[in-house]
Amino acid sequence: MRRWATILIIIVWLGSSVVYAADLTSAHFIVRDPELGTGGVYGTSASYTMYSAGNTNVSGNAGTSASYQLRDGFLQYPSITSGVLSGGVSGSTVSLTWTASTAANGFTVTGYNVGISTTSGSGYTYTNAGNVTSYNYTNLTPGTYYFVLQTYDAFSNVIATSNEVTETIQESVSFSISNNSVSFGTLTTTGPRYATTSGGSASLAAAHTISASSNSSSGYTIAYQGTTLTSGSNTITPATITGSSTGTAGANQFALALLASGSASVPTSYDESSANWNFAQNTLSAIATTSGPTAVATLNAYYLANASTGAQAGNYGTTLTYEMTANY
Amino acid sequence: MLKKILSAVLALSVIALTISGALIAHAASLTALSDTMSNQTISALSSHTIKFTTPTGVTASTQTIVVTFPSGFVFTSKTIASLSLTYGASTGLETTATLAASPGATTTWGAVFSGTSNVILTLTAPTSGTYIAAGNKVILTYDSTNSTNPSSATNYAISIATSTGDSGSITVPIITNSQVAVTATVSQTLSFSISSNSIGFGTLSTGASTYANAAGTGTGSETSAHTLAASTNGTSGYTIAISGDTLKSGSNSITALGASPTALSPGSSQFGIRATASGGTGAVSSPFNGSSGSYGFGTTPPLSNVAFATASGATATTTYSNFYAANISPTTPAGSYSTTLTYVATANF
Repeated sequence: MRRWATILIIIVWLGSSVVYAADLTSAHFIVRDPELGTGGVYGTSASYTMYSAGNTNVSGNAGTSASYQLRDGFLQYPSITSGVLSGGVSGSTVSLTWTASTAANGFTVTGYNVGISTTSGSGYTYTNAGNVTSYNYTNLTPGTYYFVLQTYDAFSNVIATSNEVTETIQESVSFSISNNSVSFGTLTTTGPRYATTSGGSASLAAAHTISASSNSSSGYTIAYQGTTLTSGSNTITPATITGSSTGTAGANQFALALLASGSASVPTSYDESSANWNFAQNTLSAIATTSGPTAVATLNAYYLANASTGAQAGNYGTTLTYEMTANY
Repeated sequence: MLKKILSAVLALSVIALTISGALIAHAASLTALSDTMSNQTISALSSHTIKFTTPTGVTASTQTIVVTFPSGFVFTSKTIASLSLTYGASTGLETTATLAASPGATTTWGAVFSGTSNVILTLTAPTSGTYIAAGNKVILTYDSTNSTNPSSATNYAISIATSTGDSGSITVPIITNSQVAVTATVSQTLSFSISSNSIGFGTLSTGASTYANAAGTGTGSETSAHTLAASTNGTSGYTIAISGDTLKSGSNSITALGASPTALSPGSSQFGIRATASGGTGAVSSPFNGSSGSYGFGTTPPLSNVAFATASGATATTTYSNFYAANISPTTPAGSYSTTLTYVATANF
C-alpha cells in the first residue's frame, strides 16, 4: 500500500513539472497544439472570433461561436530555428559560416555570438560577431578547437545555440633566406665595407633578408652559427660595435646587424636601428625572437667589415648557418 | 539478506572504480616543445636538440618515450652513443641518463632505434631508480653524426609520445639552403722606402776603415749610412734585392768583400755592406748579415738582384740600418770612386 502511494506521489510530481499546450477538444472540434500568433489583429470566422494576443499569454476575451467556446489562457511559444554552423581551416585561421537563424512569434534575430573552446561542449569564449553570417578566428595556435553559434535577440538574450563544429589547426612554420651568397668586395683600411649580393658597398646596405613565420604558441627563435671571415689561418676579427654604423676605420672588424620588420625582436647587441653590431664566433646565437603566433616577419641582415693595415692579403670567406626553431 | 547483497555489490563497485581509476593514464599534451637544429638545409647533416615538458612524466619501469621523425629523415647507422638524455624539474639538465641497449638500474635508460632509416627512437625507463617526474623538462639530443635531413624542402612534424599518455609534435622547416656564404678580399700591399739616396765615404784611408754616411763625409766609426723600410700584408712576405757594382773609378775598383761576412782589414782594398733589422719580421740575408766589423758584398760583382733581406710572411715595417765600409791598400789608385746600388722590394705573393 505504502509502495503504491509512493509511486503515485512520483507521478504527480512529474506531472506537475511538465508545462505544455495540450490539444483542446470538444464534441465539435479539436485545436491542435494551440499557439496564438501576434500581429495585433483579430482572427475571425463565421463561427468564431479570436482576439489577438501578446507575446506571452492569451488574455482577455475568449473565442466564441454558437457551437463552441474557446477558452483563453494558452501559453504562446515564440519559435527560433538556429542557423547551421560550418567551418573551414586555412593555416592558422578558422573560417566560420552559418545560415541565418529564423525567428517567429515574438523572437527577433538581432545578431550572433561565436564561441570557441578547446573542450567539446563547454568552456566557450564568446565574441559578438554582429548580425552577420561569417566570422574568422585568426592566428590560432596548433590544436583542436570547438565552435558554436549563439543567436541573440534585441535584448541581447541568447535565444538559440547552434550545432558544434570541430576544427584542428595544424602546426605551421615558414623560413627562408633571400640570398645565400653575399660579398664585401675589397676591404679597405679607410672605411667600412658592407656585404651585398652585388660585390659590396661602401654605403650601409642590407645583404639579404631572412623571413619566418609560425603559429606556435610561444613564437620562434632565429639563430646563426659560424666562424668569422677567414683566409687560411688569417682572420678578420669578430667585432662588437655599439652606436656606430661604420665601425672603426683601420681596425680589423667583422660584424652582423639586423633590422626587423613585423613582430620579431632583435637583441640589442645586433640591433641595426641602434647602429649596434656583433659577431659571436662558433656559438649558436639568437638574432630574432617572437613571443607568440607570428605572421611573416622579415629581418634585413647587414654585414660590416673593416680591414687593418696589418690584415693579411687574401680571399676571405665564411659560411653562416641560420636556423629557425619554433617553440610550441 | 537483500540488504547484505546490495551492500556487497556496492562495495565491490567502489573497489572496482577505485582500481580502474588508478590504472587510467590521463592523456595530456606535452608542452614547451622545440627542436633546435644545427642545419635546416635539405640533405645536410644536422644535430637536433629536442626539448619538451611532460605533464604526466615517465614514472615507472617499462614506461617509454617514443620519438618519431617523419619519413625523409635518415638516421641509418646512428648509434645511441650519439644521443644524450637529460631531465629535471627546473632546467632539464639536473639528471643525465645513461643510454644503453636495454634499461638498467638507476639512470640507465634503454634506447633503441627502429623503423625505416631509424626514424623511431624508443627510450625505456630504468628498471629502478630515477624516473622523469610529472612536470619535468626533458632534453634529448642527437648529434649530427648520421643525422641527415630530408631531401625535400618542406615542413616536417616530429612526434613525441610517452606510454603514460602524453604526446605532442614539433614542426621543423627544411629549406633548400639555410646557409649564407660571405666573402671578402684583402688586397695585397707592399711598402718600401729608402731614407737617403746619396751617401759618401769622403776620403779613404790605409790606416783605418772608413764608413759612409748620409752627409757624404764618411766617418771612422761604424755608423749607419741610411735605412731601408719595408712592410707587406702578403702572406708570403717580401724580398729586398740589391744590384750594383763595387766602388769604381774608371777601370780601377775597390775589391768587393766576399759571399760571406768578412772582417774588415785596414790596409787592404775592401768594400762591403752590412745591415741590421729592427721591427717587423724581416731579416737581413747573407752576406750582409754580419756582426759589427764583418761585411760582405759578393765575389763576382756587379751584383744582380741578390737577396739583401727577406720576410717570410705578412709583416709590419722592418727598418734595415745599412752600414757601408771601405778600406784601401797602399797601391789603390787615386781617384774618385763611386757606385750606384739599386734596392728592389718584391712581395712574394
